[in-house]
Amino acid sequence: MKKRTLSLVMAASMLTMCAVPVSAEEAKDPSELIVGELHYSVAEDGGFAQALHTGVVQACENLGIDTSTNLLTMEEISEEDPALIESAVEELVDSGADIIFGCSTGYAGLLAELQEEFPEVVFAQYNNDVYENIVEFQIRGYEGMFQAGYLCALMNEGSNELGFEASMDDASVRTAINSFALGAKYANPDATVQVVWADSWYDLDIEANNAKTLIDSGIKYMGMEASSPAVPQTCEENGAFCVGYNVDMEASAPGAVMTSFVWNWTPIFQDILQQTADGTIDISADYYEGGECSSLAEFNSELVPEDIQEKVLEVRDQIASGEIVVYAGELKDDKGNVLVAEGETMADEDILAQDFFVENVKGGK
Amino acid sequence: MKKLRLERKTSGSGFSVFLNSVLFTGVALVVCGFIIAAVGFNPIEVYAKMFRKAFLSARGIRKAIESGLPLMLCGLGVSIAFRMNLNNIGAEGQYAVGAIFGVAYVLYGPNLPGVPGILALACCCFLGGALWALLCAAPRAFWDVDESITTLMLNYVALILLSYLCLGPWKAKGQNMGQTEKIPDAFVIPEIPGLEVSMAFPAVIVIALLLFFFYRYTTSGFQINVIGKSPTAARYAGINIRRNILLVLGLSGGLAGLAGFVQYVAVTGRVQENMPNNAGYTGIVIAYLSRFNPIVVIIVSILFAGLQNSSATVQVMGVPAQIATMMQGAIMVIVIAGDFFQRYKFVAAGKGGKA
Repeated sequence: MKKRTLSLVMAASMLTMCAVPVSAEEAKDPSELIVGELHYSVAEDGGFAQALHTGVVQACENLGIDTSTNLLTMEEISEEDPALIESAVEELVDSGADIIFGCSTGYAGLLAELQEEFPEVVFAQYNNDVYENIVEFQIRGYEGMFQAGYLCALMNEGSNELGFEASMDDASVRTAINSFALGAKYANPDATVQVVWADSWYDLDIEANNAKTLIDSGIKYMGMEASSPAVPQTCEENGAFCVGYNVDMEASAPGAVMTSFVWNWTPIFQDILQQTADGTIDISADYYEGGECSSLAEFNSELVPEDIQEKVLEVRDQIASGEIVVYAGELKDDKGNVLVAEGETMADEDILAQDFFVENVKGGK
Repeated sequence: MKKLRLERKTSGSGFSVFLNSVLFTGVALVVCGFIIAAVGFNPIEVYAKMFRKAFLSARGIRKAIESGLPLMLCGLGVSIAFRMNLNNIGAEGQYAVGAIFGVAYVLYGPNLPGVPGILALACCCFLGGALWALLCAAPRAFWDVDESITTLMLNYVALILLSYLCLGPWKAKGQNMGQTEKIPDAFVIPEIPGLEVSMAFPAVIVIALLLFFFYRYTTSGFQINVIGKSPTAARYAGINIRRNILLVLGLSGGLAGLAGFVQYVAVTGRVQENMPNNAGYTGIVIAYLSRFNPIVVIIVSILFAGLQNSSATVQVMGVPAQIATMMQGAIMVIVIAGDFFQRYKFVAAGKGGKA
């Protein structure tokens, strides 16, 4: 990650040297930055939004930005209401914001339009690389999910069946399922992953019922791409185990959560903020980071034996060093078609736009 | 001590209805003021800033109109049904189906240039909403199936359908969110020159005026009022109730479908996974607050939209987002509760006629 960030920084600064400077503003100390963030829900939602919010807060703190005065958090800004999004951005600009983080995909198009109206403000947006005039950021979530699948398969001694609770059928969710399944397969070539769908981004009852269904069918270890603590709690009540998602979920079910997949946005945001302050930011930049950004939270040592912890950490390091490539050939989908030929790897665009399920996924759509 | 009892007021003038609403909005603001003070802010300062930004600046008013457009059409749609005592809770779903029909027309329909194209698109959206409402109107008209349940339930069906289409076959390429491609420029409703307000706004006002005259001066409009006040009397008068149920719910759904149209062509330019975003439900509240008067619906919708947009203003002062949402809720509840005093009065027992 460090290396990648560094090369990104260098590439970005070279770009800015060649091109006309993007911002004519003079460099300032990062601690003077005024930072705005837009959330579709409350920031402390216990899930995805909270992970982003925590990233912003930690990045600010690391750079000496006083979050009580210089961080302006806008919550419950609906993605479907352009007038509200515009009002929120204008309020932030009026309050002197130097940079605005759009923390939900739905803001992307509008922020790209507003950038033209407010060229002195840097817009950073959670998105794939789509727009040229806003900074976009995304995490290689598949790296962490691969480790989660690997962990579950190692723990699942004597059985090949793992479970997975998924939310909506969407490329990002398929990515989570597939990388979990690939991780499981890496530990145990016969491992299969049974998916159950909530068909909702957030539904306590359905998520709990789905987890129960998996457990009733004899599955003991499961992964999840869901935002509520329903799966961990259902596991705890029924003697099963899982890997939490979005944020560290250990506190909500200490008897079931072995670790959690967490989005660690801090390094990315810190870099964006630093460059904004220096005036070197390239507004067309695209961050797509893995490594420490896409990792597992601390293990629950009560549940995960030391030697297994070490094995998972080893896999983490092997991914970072490039020894393990998650989407490498030969890779087949659940219908037997070859997705990636032997000796080749999948391109980033295809990883981001997954419309397939890998071979050992059961119950895909 | 003298006992009090309630008595129904015979009639209230338009002005007294207005005064009553203003009075209870004031009460709501005072109640919320205490809560704002309790979380450590000066309520006068918060209100002043909200008001200034949302209603006293050209930008604020423009945005309130823009956000208010779908609310107006949902409010108008719901009003017409409520006038006949038909509980159309389904504006949310009719809005969604209107939007779905709109995208279908843009994707698969004939390529008409300019105004005819826009009108054809509008007709499609209207038709979508109307058909969705007729799915509930027919069972109601022929088998007396309660429309408040069926319209409500079909909302979920419509929203899931919309979500499926936006995340599935109609999803814009290269995006990782549930929305369709941007609408071709030919369909976009232009703005009124110099005002930066979409032409859709005067069009909605025309619809409201037409409804106003429809209620007041046409036989059908009169029949709707009679059925609403007393179905038995209407039946004795020989009014065809079945036909009116189909007509009114169809029209009601069609108007909600047009909300999908304006949002699509005048506001977002795309149809999104969760596009109605509760406008259909807010429309019910707006219809109530406006006493089903179409002209008042327009005004109340703009006020409501301004209030919703001001949540950004409040938050930047440090007031939590929840307080802004709570204010919207408090104003709704208190003004509707205040309506009670508009309809009833307290009189001392023994006075004012025989009990």
